[in-house]
Amino acid sequence: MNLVLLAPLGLAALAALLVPLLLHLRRRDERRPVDFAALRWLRQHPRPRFRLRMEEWPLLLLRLLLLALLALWLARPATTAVEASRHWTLLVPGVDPAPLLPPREGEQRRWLAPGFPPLQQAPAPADGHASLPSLLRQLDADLPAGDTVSVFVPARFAADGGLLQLSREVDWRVVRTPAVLPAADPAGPASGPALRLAVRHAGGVPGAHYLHAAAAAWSDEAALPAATGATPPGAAVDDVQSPWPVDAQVRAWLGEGAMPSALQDWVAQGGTALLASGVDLPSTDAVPLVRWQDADGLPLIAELPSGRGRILRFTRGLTAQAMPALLEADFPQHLHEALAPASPAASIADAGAYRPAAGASAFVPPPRDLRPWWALAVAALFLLERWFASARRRGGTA
Amino acid sequence: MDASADPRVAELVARLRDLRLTPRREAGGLGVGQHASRSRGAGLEFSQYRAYEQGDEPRRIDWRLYARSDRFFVRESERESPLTLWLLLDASASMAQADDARPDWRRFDAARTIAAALADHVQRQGDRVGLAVLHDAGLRLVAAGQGPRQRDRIRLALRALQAGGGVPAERQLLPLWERIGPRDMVLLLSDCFDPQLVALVERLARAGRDALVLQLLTVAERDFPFDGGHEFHDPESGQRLLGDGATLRDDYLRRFGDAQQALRSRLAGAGARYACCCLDEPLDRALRRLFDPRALAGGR
Repeated sequence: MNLVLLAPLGLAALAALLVPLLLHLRRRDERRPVDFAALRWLRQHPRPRFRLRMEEWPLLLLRLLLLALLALWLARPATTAVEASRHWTLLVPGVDPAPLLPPREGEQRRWLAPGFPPLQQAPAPADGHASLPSLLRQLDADLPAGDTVSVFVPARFAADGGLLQLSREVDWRVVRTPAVLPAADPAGPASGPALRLAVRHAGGVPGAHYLHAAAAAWSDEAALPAATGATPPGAAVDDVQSPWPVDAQVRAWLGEGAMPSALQDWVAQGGTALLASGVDLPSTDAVPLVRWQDADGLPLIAELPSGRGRILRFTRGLTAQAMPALLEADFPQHLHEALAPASPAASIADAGAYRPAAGASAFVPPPRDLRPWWALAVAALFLLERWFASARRRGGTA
Repeated sequence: MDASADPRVAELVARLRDLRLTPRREAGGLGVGQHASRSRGAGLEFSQYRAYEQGDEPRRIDWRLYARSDRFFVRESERESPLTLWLLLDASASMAQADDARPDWRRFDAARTIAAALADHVQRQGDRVGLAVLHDAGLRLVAAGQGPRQRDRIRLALRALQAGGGVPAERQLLPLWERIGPRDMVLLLSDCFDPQLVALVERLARAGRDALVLQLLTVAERDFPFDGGHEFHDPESGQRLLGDGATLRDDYLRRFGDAQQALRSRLAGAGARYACCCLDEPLDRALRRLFDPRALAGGR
C-alpha cells in the first residue's frame, strides 16, 4: 500500500491550519473586568513574557487533524496496491497439463485463452480475435510488475506479424505437441484455390460477360481439384430465380434496386456479394472502403462490411465506356484482388523463434482512489469535533 | 439582619456558644477569672479565694480573712466587671467584594454576620457591646449598651448598611476616642488594605485598649487565580490595571505576602491581636483563632 497524492497542489489547503491556530491563540488583549481591591500590590508589566498560549488543546488538535485530512482529500489521495508477487503458469490450449509438476505455493495455472480460465475448466473456444500474442500482451498488462510468468506453448502456433515484446521476462517453454492452428478460413488463404464466382443478372444490366471472362481467367490460373461440385467455377446464370451454387464464394448480382433478401441473409452470415452500381446498398453507418482504383485514382469498387460478410459494389456501370478498365488485360487479376478476403495476418510461428522479448514499457495500473473513504473519515472527525465543541459549551453553561 | 431571618447569624451564634471573649490583660495566664475586676463592691458573684502571690494588688487582699487566718488571701470574683466590646466595621467600597465562585458572599456580608453574631454572643455573656461603622460619609455609632435591646439596636443598624465609598479621614475618627473607654475591647472587621484603619487600631492598642483585628480576605486576593487578560479595577481608588493574570501572579503573591507579614508584625508590635479570615473558611474558626487563649499564651 503506497499512499500517493494525485493532485499535490491540494496540499496548499494546509494553509488553512492557521485558522484554528489563530482561533485558539489566547487573546492577550482581552479585557475581562475584575474588581480587585488589593490592586496596590499589583505591578504593571512586571516581566513581559511572550509565550504563545493556546486554549483547549484537545479541540485544537482535533480541528487541525480535520483540516489536514480535508487538505489531503483535496490532494486526491490514492493507493497503488503492491501485492505479493505470484507465479503464473499458462498453457496454450492443446498442451497437455498432465506432465506438469504439482503447482507450487501461490502458483496460478491458467489456460492461455480468453478470460484465462483455470486448468480445471475446459478452455473457451478461440474466436479468432484473441490470438496467442494478443492474449500474452493482455496478460502482461493485467499482471502486477512483480509477478512472473511461464508459458507452455506448442512448437507451432498461430501468431501475428510482429515479434512479441513484453514488459517482463517470460519463461518460454516449448512443448512438442501437434501444432495448434486456427480453423481453416472459409474463404481460404490467399494462396489457396481461385475464387468461385456465381453471377446472376436481371433487368438487362450489362457486364455479366466481363465477370464471366474474369472468373474463367481465374480458373485457368489456378489448378482446381476435380470434384468441386456440379457447378463449374465461374459459371454465370442469367436466371434470377435459379438457386445459387453452394460452393460459390462470391455471388455477383447485376440488377437494380434493393438487394434480394436471400442474398442479404447470405452476406450477413459471412458471404461476399458483388453488386452492380445500380443496386442500393443497405443503410449502415460503416464507411465504404475503396478496394480498386483506376490509374487516375478514381474508385472502381467500394467495399462495405455487412454482418459477418462483405458487400462490394462497382461504382460505375459495367460498360467499356464507363469503365475502360474492363477491357484491360489485368482486369481479372484486379477483380480477384478486390474480391479476395483480406489476407489473414495470422501466420504459423515457430515457438522457438517466437520467444517474447522483454523491455516493453510496463503498464502502470491506475491507483485506487481513496477519496470516498477519506470523506467518510473526515465526516466522522467532523462529528467528533462538533461533539467536543458542544460538550465544552454544555459544560460551560452547566 | 435579624437573627431569626438570617440563618448564617444563627448558625454562627450557635457555633460560638462556648467561645470566651477574654481580655488580653487577664489572658496573661494568672487568673482563673474571666475579666479583670474594676469594682470591689459587695453583691458581686464570689468565685474563690486563692493565696496571695507577689504582684497582686494589695487592695485585692481580703483583710477580714487575714484577720481570721493570719494569711493573705485574694478574693476572686467570677464576674466582677462587665466587658465592653466595640465592633469597628469597615464599610468602604473594597468591603463589597466577593469571589466569582460565590458572588453573594461579599466580604461585607461576612463582616456583618460576624458583628451580629458577636453582638448576640456578648449580650448573652452579659457584657456591653457597641458598634461603629467606618465610612467616609460619616461615622455611624451605636453607643455601647447591654441587654437584648442593645443587640436589636445593633442588628437594626447593620441591616441598613451598604458598603461603598472610602475610609474615613483621621478627623472623622475623633469621636471614637471619646466613646471607647480606656480598657474596652475593640475589634476591627476590615480588609486592612487601608492604612488609616490599621493606624487607628495601632493607636488604640498603644493607648491601652484591647485591640483585635480580623482581616477579611477574598480567595482571589489570597490565591490570585486569574489566568488570561484581565482589567483589574480597584473599587475604592478607581484605578485600573491591564494585565495577564499568569504573568502578574508571582509578583503579586510575593508582594502581597510581604504586605501581610508587615501588617502582622506591625499589629503585633502594637500589642493588637490579629487573625485572618478568608471567605472560603468557616467564620467561627477564624474567630476562635482570634480569641484562642492558648495561642495567645504561646504567642507572648
